[in-house]
Amino acid sequence: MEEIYKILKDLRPEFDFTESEDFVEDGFLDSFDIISLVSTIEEKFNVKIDGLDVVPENFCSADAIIALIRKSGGTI
Amino acid sequence: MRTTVLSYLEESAEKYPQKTAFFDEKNGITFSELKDQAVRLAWHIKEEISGRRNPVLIYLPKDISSIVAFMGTLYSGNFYTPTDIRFPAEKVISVMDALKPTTVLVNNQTKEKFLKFAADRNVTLINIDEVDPKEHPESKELIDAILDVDPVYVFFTSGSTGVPKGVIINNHNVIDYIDWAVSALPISDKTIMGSQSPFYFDISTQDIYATLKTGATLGIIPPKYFAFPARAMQFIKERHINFLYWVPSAFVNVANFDILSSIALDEVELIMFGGEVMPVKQLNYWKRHLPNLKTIANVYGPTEATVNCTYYIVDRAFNDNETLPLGKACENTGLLVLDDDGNCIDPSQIGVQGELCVYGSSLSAGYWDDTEKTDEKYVINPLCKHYREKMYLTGDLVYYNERGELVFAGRKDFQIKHSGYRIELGEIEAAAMGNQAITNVCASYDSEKKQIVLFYQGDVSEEAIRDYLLDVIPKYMVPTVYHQLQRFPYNDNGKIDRKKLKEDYILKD
Repeated sequence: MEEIYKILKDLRPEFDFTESEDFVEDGFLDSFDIISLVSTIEEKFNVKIDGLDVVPENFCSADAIIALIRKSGGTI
Repeated sequence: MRTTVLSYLEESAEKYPQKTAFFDEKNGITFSELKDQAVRLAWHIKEEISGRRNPVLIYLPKDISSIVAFMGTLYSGNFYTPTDIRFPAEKVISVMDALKPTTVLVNNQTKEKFLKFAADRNVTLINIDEVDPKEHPESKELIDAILDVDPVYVFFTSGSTGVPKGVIINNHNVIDYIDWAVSALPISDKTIMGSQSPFYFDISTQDIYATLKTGATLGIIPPKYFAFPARAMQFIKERHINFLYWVPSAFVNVANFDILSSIALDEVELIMFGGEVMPVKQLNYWKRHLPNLKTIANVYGPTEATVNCTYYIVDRAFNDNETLPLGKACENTGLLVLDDDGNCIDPSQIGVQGELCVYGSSLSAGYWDDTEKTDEKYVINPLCKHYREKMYLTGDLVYYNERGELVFAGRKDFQIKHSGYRIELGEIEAAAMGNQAITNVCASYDSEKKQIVLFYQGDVSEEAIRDYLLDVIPKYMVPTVYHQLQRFPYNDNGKIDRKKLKEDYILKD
């Protein structure tokens, strides 16, 4: 969990992700951020994220991102 | 005689009254409904403000409400400047400072947001949701009053001093462009376009007015879907969209996530891109995955020459490492390639670079409230010796290839294209210098990695600069890479040595 928040903080330092209920609805992540985030996750957790899994539900919270990493075969 | 782009809407409302002209995520509007709503809004605007050719700022979401607002503004004899409700307040205010709009159009959804930062502005605020429905509003009188030199819109591009530049586009400019577009491209009443471009960017000029002219349909893809390309592709599939004119980065994004292997777009027949260089690797991906693709168009042009001035219909295969040419001039557009001494480079001089210059009916009247900048960029055509003909200096370097096609070689100055937006690095520098802690700054562009790089001097963290910049400029302009320097390199003229910075930090890795 901490690891995910760290990645997010590096991406958009101006936001407090721990306070957000929904990163997407709160406008914390735009198209450029999603691209960077996916490539960071792929590199860090050695997984390949399916493009079809790049949907708001999988990026709305740290829990959702962790679930996505596990679903894609990564360990966290 | 066609003197206004509104005649497209008048004709289509007559010919296709019940056909859907525009749709967004939630709603659709037919040609006749659009005309009725726009004319009602126009009469309402005329009750609120007097005179003609007033600048009207549109503060509405990217959906059908904006289209009604644009048309209503034009019917009222005025012209529009769209903005983005997601922009930081400072950006909207800087556009307002430059444009000095007499009127701002909002709706129930955006009114409060606008008033939060602009309540003290001396403008007439019109809520388009409060327009009185009138029976059969009359449009003839409104149309008859319009001349083809009346502006349709003023679009702002970023300026080097930090002050945005407004490009004035008239009715005859748009008519000239649309006449070319509908003859060169397969657009008909069967076409369903998928709009990606923001309405303040001039790809939308073709989206909107080619739709009105041909009786086609424009689907406004919700901007939020482009962060999640699978959603955008689903929208295209479900809504039977068959024509895509986007900035390259939107196409690239879909290709990089390999969405088309899972979501097949069987109905897409044309893809078209402009605003920046389309990488062939991702173009080839799209070609492989669209079974019914018939036309690929690469277009190029500055806002000052109305959307596009060159086009290339892809007629051969390209390897991933090749680049697409710009092609040739759009019909009724004059192009010159001039070297530093003002000599004309002709197609037989293969590979010789010069600045691309444009003349013809597509040329805008110049910059809003800035005669100095207008005179600098709109000069007299040096080859027209016996009378004055205006010509626009694009600042883009091009050359002819062995096929006689024009090829893009880069920007003459420091203006860059990033994610489809035209950005003056100077504007980013001006914004960064606004931070008290920063003493020296230089913005650069890593065209390889597509990153804006900021070099700075001053006791301040990267995060703090980012935070600061996000409040004053749009996010697409905020640098992603930062280098804190003890001192800057200077060249002989005493200017920051940009070339050296680029070599030392950007090109070396």
